[in-house]
Amino acid sequence: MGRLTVLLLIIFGTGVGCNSYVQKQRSNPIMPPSSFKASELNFSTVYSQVLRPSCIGCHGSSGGVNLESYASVKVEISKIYESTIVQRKMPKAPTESLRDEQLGLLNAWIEAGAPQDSGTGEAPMPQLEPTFDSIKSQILEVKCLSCHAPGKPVARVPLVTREDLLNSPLDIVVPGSAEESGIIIAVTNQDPKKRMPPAKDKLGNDTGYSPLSEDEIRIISLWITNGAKD
Amino acid sequence: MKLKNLTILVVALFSLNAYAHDEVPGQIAISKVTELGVHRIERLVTLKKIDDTFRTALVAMKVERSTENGAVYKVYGYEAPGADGSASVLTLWMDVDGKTLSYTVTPGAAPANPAQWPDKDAVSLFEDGLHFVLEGWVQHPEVKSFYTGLQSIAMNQIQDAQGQILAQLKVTSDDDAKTLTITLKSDGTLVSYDIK
Repeated sequence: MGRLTVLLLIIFGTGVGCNSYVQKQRSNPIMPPSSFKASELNFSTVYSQVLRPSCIGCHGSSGGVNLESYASVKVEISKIYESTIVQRKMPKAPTESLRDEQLGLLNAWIEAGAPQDSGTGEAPMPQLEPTFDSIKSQILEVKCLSCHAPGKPVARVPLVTREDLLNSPLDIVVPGSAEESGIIIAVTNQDPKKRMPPAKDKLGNDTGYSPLSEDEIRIISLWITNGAKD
Repeated sequence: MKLKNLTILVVALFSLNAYAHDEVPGQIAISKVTELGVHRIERLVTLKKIDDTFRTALVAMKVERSTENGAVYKVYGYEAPGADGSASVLTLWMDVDGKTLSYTVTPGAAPANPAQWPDKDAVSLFEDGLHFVLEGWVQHPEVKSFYTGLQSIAMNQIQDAQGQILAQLKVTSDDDAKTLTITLKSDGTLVSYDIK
């Protein structure tokens, strides 16, 4: 009986200890260190390094949680911390999980009180320009490449490089003619089943992807009209 | 000596496997050309260069190799026939990459009684059927001969036991004496396929 009691106590103690460890881990997740200095912890940096590439594609103007502005992010900061840092549930597939440096930055910024600016003249919010690099970083990477890239669900229509857009037999970009370019036709399609990015996946579930804004469509059109040279 | 022979045999087997499929190196599969043809039909309709009936009443496509007009492939898209039995035909001349070089429409009577699709349109259903051929052969190797040698694809509307509308696409191939039948729901999702 004595040995059985000791055994039961050991098992019970181990269980309590493990649970406590798990809870501690959940409330104090092991975070990769941030490579950013305290003076760089501001919304603009977090937006360009984390929110835009990994969140805005779904959390834009689609009607759910909007993370496009500082005000809307600040309101959701607890949920962001819980879902991203603690539970690691966000971002959802097909968007790739946050890299260590993104997690480190986001965590450091939240722990610093999620300041809008760092008081040292932080980098301005990136502006969308009619160049391929700008369109790629602010639109394609955010709303397209989680599907339209090698290894992804629609790898047969890659949108990774400028050559992918210009050389495609689908006439994704017809230099000089935005209205004949497949990308403009796709993002302005009035048929919700054909509009890109899709509002629903193959199972009929909401993807969370925001349609391109008028400004985004205008900038892509301008780039194409100008010949899509750079 | 035995090891040397075995090595030669293994290398030969791997080499054969590398060229196991019938595709021509550097050329896209003819089924891919057909899929690009479907996309081109939709684009021409969107740009109002051909009639919208090619989008809603497309019933068949055919593809063949060609040297006309500087092309490598010739793709035909057929509408549902009109009251007099004639049908409009779109002909596309495409290059080695499946890019359309030129096209023409041979007019026929307006489709007399085209199938009504409650969800996706006809051209989208063709697209979904061809996606199965293009991607499905990897998991279903018996479909590969239709991927490499697609000759034609024709669609008609059927109903299942519950009265649900389905799209039935019949695919023929130069590389297979049998016919591949793909059945899709009206939203384009795969129901079944068989080869007979």
